[in-house]
This record gives sequence, structure tokens and C-alpha cells, in this order.
Amino acid sequence: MLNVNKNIESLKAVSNFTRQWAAPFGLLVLISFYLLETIPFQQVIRNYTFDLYQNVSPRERISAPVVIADIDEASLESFGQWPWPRSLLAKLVDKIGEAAPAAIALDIIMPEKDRSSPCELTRFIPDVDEQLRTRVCNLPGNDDLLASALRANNAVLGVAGIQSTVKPELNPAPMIVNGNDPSPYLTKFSSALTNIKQLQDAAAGQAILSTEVERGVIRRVPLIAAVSDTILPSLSLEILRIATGQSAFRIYSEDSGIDAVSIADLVIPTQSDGSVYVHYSQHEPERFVSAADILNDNINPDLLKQRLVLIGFSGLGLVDFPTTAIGDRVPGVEIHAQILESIFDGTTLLRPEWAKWLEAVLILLAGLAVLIFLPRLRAGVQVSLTLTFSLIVIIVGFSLYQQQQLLIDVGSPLLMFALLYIAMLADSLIRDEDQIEVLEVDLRLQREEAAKVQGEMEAAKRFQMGILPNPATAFEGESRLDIAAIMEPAKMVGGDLYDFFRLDENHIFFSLGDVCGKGVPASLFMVISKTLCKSVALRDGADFMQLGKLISQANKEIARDNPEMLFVTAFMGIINLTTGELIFCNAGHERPLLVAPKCKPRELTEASGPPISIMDDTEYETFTYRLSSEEFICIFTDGVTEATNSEKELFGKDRLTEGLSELRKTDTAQTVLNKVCDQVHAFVGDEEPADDLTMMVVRWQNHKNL
Amino acid sequence: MEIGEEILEGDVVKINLSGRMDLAGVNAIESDFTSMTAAPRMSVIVDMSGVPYMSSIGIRSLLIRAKSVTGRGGKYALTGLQSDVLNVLHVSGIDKLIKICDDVTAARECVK
Repeated sequence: MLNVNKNIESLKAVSNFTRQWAAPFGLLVLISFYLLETIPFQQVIRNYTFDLYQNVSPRERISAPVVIADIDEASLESFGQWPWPRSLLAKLVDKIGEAAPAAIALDIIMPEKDRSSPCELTRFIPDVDEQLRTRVCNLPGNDDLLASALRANNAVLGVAGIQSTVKPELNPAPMIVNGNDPSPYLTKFSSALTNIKQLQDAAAGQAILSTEVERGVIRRVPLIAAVSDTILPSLSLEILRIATGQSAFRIYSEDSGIDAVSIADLVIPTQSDGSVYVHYSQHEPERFVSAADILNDNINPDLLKQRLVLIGFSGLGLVDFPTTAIGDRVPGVEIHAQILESIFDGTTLLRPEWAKWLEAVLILLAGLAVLIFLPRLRAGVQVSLTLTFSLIVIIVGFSLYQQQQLLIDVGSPLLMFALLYIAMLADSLIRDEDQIEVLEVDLRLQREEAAKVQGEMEAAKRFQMGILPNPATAFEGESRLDIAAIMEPAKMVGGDLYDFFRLDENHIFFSLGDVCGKGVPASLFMVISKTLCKSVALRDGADFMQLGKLISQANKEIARDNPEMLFVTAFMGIINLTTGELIFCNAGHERPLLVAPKCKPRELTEASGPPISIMDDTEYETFTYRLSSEEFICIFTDGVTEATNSEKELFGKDRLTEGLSELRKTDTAQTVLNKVCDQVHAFVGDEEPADDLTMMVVRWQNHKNL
Repeated sequence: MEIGEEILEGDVVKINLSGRMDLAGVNAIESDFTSMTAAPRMSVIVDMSGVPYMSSIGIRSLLIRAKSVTGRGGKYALTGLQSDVLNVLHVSGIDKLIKICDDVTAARECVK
């Protein structure tokens, strides 16, 4: 037992330490790592959460300010393979310009001269006539045509950010910076792939086309980016500047990075690096107009009027199809179109600076709940609270996205919550297991203990039964006496006793008693009483004819040491085998029954005094009764009269008397005893006997009658 | 078994017992019965009108309480005994050791 307790103590000590210090400390470390963005897969989970928001509730396309002049499969079929001669591109720009759009931008980079210009073509003709060549070369080149088309229509050209040592020639629109120098925060390219100078100079604006691709998905696009030392606007921003007729952008920045970018009175909040999360709507074919239709005058000019027109391609084989956050694969130019739409509708997404702090607080709350609050609750309450907390967090995160266009990552705190909760469950499982083990050991020890006690009780019972004399062998060869006795012990060791022995040739002593109470004290008391009575009766010089005096003596000795206040009721008798004279004492015991064939049973009513050991100075009275031959004395304990059946009825004296009223001549002490026992057993049925069943039947047989 | 206590005029404590006074019954009331009769020089009347049956363990309980009360200079009497219970006390000779009164008024005279 000591070892077991020690184990419990050490378990408690460990778990107390874990609970009180280690776990909260771990939680703080976790939150610090979260704020520093150093937890593995943190970005992946965040992206997944944001993608989920957009999947569940994509942006609704309210206004449609953008049209994509799409060099699609049909266009390639009508006008030949890409690259088209720039004269054709110039025609496309001019055709669009005729429809009076708000602005035109080309999502195409042209870093080399057009080889299909007429003058260039003459080089491929061997031995060309010099005159012809001069005449052809006097025709305007394709690049000249496109340059004049771009100039005429205020078109915007794009460049691609690359990593290279070549210094690019850039002439972007001026930026007015409000606040700190934004350069350190921006996406940086060391160089850029630019258009040929002739076209570049003709274009009204220059924009950067690069986007950020994460695992094949475009989620964020920089609105401004740095190429070498120059800050360039994105295509969407630049086309807006041209459309609104502004000459410069404005950048708002502070210590933590860039706050917003603005053109005229339009302010677009950005992430600290000047990028925006693209708020995607579904892929819309309506955004696209085939370039072929424009060139063939096959469209209603109103379609382009006052619109922002992006010229790009969707022809297969010309371009990669990046994936959007909502899982569509779209031509790159559509992403620019979508950014413009969301800027126009004022639904650009923003992950605010305070988002990570809110997320950290959520992790802290979840962690504290798991460590302190939840373990005190019942499992059912735990689960419902956990679900409610998760649901509230999800609703808050989603509502902020849907109503305020704010991106709060609730996925990470919930995942942490789930992991912590699982860890808590695992921890409590392990502790429960340990506790169960301890309890099992405890239970086993208790069982062993109980079995030991049970074994000792049974030994006590065997001993108690063993000191009772055997009526079948005690008076062998004595034909004048017929005696039978039984003691059926109840489950516990009890305090009933009977005894008989020969005093001399003609006198037999017999007694039957009942110690008040159950268990070991009663059985010990019974053994003491029986032994004392016997030794008093057999003491040298004792006059057993003065039975009352002997009992009074024994009573004095038994009562002297009786701390438990136990007492014993007893009937004691001495029978003279020659005369049939019975001397008896009844110390508070049930009155014995006298029965004989053809006689009504009657009681031996004389009482000598109270039960033995109640009062040490009691004088017990002696009575005499002359037995007739064939008369049975039945002495019993309340185990007989108070045997109880399942209805809580007592067997009672009446049933006993009635059962003994019709005896036959052939009956012996044993058959009378059996008769009573059978009746009691039948009455009690399957009930567990509450008390010992003890009974003795004695008959004197007169030889003269035999 | 159930046990209750009433204080009568003249600081006589009347203890009311009810239920079968067997091993289980006595176990149920024993500690209350003991604490109710713990003070010195008490006058105690035990009203047994609610007890239909009593085994030898019940006799012991009544006797122990009687010895405890009288041992501290108090008085002790039983009243309201049903015939079966009275018979048990009579057969066992306990009626010679404890005062048994017919009713509460007589019992109050006994414990004066």
C-alpha cells in the first residue's frame, strides 16, 4: 500500500509541474514563434484559410470597367501565327482607340525589333534591286506604325521584372512619397525586360507585369515594385492613372512599411510591401472580346467605350495559365482585370497589421482554455464548448472577410486549438491509465486482504463448528437417551452454541444458547461461555443438582470481562436417566417445547433469570420437571422462530407448534429435528438466512416400557 | 429504523423509535441513540410504539443505553411496547432489569 501511495504522489508531482509551469511557458513560446512567422507550414495554413474564404464567398462582379481584347485561338486562326506583325497590332490598337476607351494597356512585352517590317524583309531577298529596297525601306516600319498607334491612343506598355546585371532604361510615372522611403519594403528586381526604346517612348506609361506565384497560385500582386532603384506601378495601377489623366502616383508609407497607394482621390490600402491580395470573382467569359472581332469590326463599339481595355492573349500555347485562389486556371491578363475590378468596386482585400496580434490572442485564449478551463469540465460540456468556440471564431473570421474585406487567419488558431486539445486528451488518457493501474493494484491488494479475512472467518467458523459435540457418537451405547442437534450457520460466524456431556453414569448435561450479535465478537463470546459453563459443571466437588448456583457462578465469571456488553441467552438442563427427572435453568432463552405423540405441544415456561453476563450478581433459580418416557424436549434459538421469508414474514412459534403437533410413535429425536428443519427451509425458500439455525431435541426412554 | 428526539417538560428526553429493531435497524440508529443519551443525570423515556419486532441485538442496544444512562446517575424507562416486543423482553427476563411503563405519563413518573 505504501508503494502505491508513493506512486500516486510522484504522478501528482509531475502533473502539477506540467500543469503549473511547463505548459503555459510552452504556450508563450508557441505564440512568440507564431508572431515571428517561424512555425513550419504557418503560411500554407494561412493561404489555405484565405483561399477557403474566397471559395465559399467569391467577389461579386458589380461594375465591369475592364474589357480584355483577347488574342485568342480564333484570332490566330484568322490572322496567322503569333507573333503578329506589329502593323497588325497597331491596327488593333487603332481599332480599339476608335471606340473611345478610357485607356489601353498591352500585356505584351516587345524587347526586339519586328523582323517582319518591310525594310527588314528585303534582307531575306537575295540580290534585291537596290532601288526597290530603298523604296520599300522608305515605307513606314511595323514598329513605326505601332509606335504611332500607341502614341495616338495613350497606351500603356509593360515590362517584366528579372534578375540580371543589365541596367534597364525606364521612364515610369513619377511617385510622390508621403512618409518614409518605401524602397526597402518593396518587391525588388535587379533588372527588367523592357520594350524597344521606340515603342517605350511612344507609350503613355510604363508598368510592371510581374506577379507573385506561390506553388502555382497567384494570391498577391504588387501594386508597386522596385526595379533596380526605380519604383514602377503595376499594369492595373498605371492604366488607372492614364484613364484618370493624372501625372503622378502617391505612396503612403510609415515605419512598418507601405500603407496605401493612391491616384487622384482613389486610395488603395496595401500590404506593407505594396502588394494586394487579389479578391477573385469567378472566371467570366464576358470580360473577353476576341481581337479578331475587333479587327473585323464585328463588335458593338459601346462594348469598349469608356472602358479600360487590356490587350493580352489566351491562345493556347502562347501563355501559362496560372491558378487563382478560388482554383480557376485563367490567362494572366484576367488577373490584372480582376484587380482593376476590385479596385473599382472598392473591394480589395487587406490583411491588416493588427491581424497577427488578434490571431495571437486567439491562440492564447484557446491555449489557456485547453490548459486551465476545459480540464475542469465534463467531457460533454467540453465538446460543446469547444465546438461553440470554434464556430464563433470561424464566423468572426468569415464575417470580417465578407463584410469588411479583411483577411484574418482563423485557421491557424483553430488548428493550434485542435492540436492542444488533442494533446490535452492524450495527456489525460495517459494519466487516467496510470491512475487506473494504481487503482487496480489497490483493488487487488484489497481483494487479497478480503480473501485473507474471509479465509480467517471460515477458519473461525470451522473451529466453532468443531468444538460442538457430535450427538450421534457422544452417547454411544446409551439406550436411555435419544438426542439430536443441529447448527446451520448463517453466512457470518455467529454466536449460537449447543453442548452435552455425561456428568456421571446416570446424569447427562445439555445446553443450548444464543449470543446476542454476530461476527467474531459473538463467536468468541460463545466459545468462552461454553467452556466456562462446562468447567463449572465438571469442577471437583460441584453439586450439579444445584444447577442455578453453578450458573450464577459461571455468570459472574463471564460478566466480569465483557467490554462489548454482549450477553447470551441459554437453556441448560441435567437429565437423570434412571428417573427421567429434569433439572433446568432458563437464562432469558426462548421457552423450550415439550412434544409427544398424541399430545398437544406445550411450553416449559419457568424462567430462572435474565440472560447470562448482563448482571454479575444474578441468582438463577433451578426448576424441576419430570419427563415421561417418549416425551421430546425441543430447544431452539430465534434462528428457527425468526427465520424470514422473502415477504419479510417470520416463521413464528405457531408454525413451529403446528408442525410438531402430529408426531407418530416411530418418530425419533432425529426425525423430529428434521421435520422442523425441512419446514423452516421450505418457508424461507431462496432467502439468505439472517441467523444461525440451531436446535436440539432430547428424549428420555424408560427401559421399563421397552 | 428511524429515531427522533423530543424534550418534554422537566428536561425529560423522549426518544421515539420506529421500525424493525433487528441487526440492520440497530446499526442505522446506534450512533444517534448513543449521542442522544450521552449527557450525565438524564431522564430518558424510550417510546417503542413504532417498533413491531425486536431481535436479541435490539435487547442489547436497549440494555447498553440503560446501563449508560443509569451509570451516570440518570433514569431510564421504556414505554409503548407492542405485545411481541413486550413478550421478547418478558421471556428474556429483561423486564426485570429495565423499567417498563404503560404510557408516557407513567413513564414520566418513573424517571422523576
